[in-house]
Amino acid sequence: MSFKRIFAFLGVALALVGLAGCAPAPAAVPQEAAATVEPVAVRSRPMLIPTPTPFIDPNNECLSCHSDKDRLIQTAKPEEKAPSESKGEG
Amino acid sequence: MAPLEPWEKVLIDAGAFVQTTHGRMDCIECHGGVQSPDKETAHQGLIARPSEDSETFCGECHPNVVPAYQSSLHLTQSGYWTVLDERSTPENHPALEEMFGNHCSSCHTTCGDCHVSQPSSVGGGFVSGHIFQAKPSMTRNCTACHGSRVGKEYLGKNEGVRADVHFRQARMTCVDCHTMDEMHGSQRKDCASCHSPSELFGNPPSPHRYHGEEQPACTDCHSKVVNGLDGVEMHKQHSQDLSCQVCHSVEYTSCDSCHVAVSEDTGNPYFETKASYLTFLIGRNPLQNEARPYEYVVLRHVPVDKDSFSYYGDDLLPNYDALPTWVYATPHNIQLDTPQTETCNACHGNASLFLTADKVNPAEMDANAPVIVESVPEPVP
Repeated sequence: MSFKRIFAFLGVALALVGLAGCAPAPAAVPQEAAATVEPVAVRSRPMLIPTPTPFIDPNNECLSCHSDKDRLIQTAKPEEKAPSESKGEG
Repeated sequence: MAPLEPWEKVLIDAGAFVQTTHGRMDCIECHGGVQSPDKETAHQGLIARPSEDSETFCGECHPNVVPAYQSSLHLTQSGYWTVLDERSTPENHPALEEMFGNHCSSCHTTCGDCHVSQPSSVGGGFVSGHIFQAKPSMTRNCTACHGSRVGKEYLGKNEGVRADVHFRQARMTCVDCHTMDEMHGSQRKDCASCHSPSELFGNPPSPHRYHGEEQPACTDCHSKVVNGLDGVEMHKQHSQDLSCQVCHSVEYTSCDSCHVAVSEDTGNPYFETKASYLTFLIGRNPLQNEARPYEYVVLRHVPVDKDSFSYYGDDLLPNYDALPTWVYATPHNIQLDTPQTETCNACHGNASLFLTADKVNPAEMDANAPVIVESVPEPVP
């Protein structure tokens, strides 16, 4: 690249910087007004890779029962534990 | 630790469990039983604790652990038999076996007692919805059994005694020191570097927990302490003749005179310990050997008594004096600064810290002759 082209490029760049300085200052936005701006949804579609839902085999009766708190409460045999007759540190 | 409700003990976190390796297996593969919505039918042939037969149910997938575990003290409880046999005679063995079955064997530990559930000796129940835990829970597994002494010491539950510095400052749990190899009864990795697994697995079970080299050893982490390479004068002087606990432990629990029997009212076994108290006593090392060369160690009184098992027969411990009742101890309440570390003469010339004859029950004098300190080290000028 010749020196002339380089000087021309730099000149244009300096002129643009100078013009930018003449632009009006941005109006100050009051804090409260800024706070009231409604958030905009960035993603309108579901994620492409959904979180996998664990597959629990409905035919697995063991797991179905043992993961059902209410059913376990109904069917669990109450434990009749006699109070300990031991005394002192074990 | 609050006891779990019966339903709570067997509640599976299905969503999380099915995503684990064990959750991909059919329940029946390990637990037997029948697929049925009816509880009675489903539980026909149920194996509630498959790891009672760990070689069958765990060994196929864990061949690096299960064979070694068969000789682990957690499984064999052979530490109890080492001292019972030493104090007794072969003809008393059947009576002691009955006693052992009623009072001691419930502490026998399966794979599941550490990795799935709370130990059965404290009522059982899943620790985390039947999700297998590689590292056992400190409070729901380890100190659930080792609570009276180790647990209280480590967690600072003895009144007026601070928790172990490893817990208080570093929040370390049991498995941070007590490695998988140690817990599973495997040899240390440095042994395995020369010996084949079959050689190591073929080893006879340890006779007690202080057999062989220290596991863990304080110097595994604090390696510069050896011979005072850390510049501490006390370590230069004493790292070979005192166990670490002599300087860095504080008061710990001793117990006296435990008796066991079966209740006439309920038919349940029970025990009665006469006394528990805090002590700190330095004595001669009853296990002095190459791995534990210390001349002095701290000693804990164990609650054995000549008549501890008299419910099961007369004079079951005729060789009562064959072992000390003040035993090698490793209290779990380590502190950087203790009364012993203050000055040389905190120990030298201080008879109150040593197990001298006047502190021993006269009936146990012969038993403790090997550990009694006859002359307290002279004060340092």
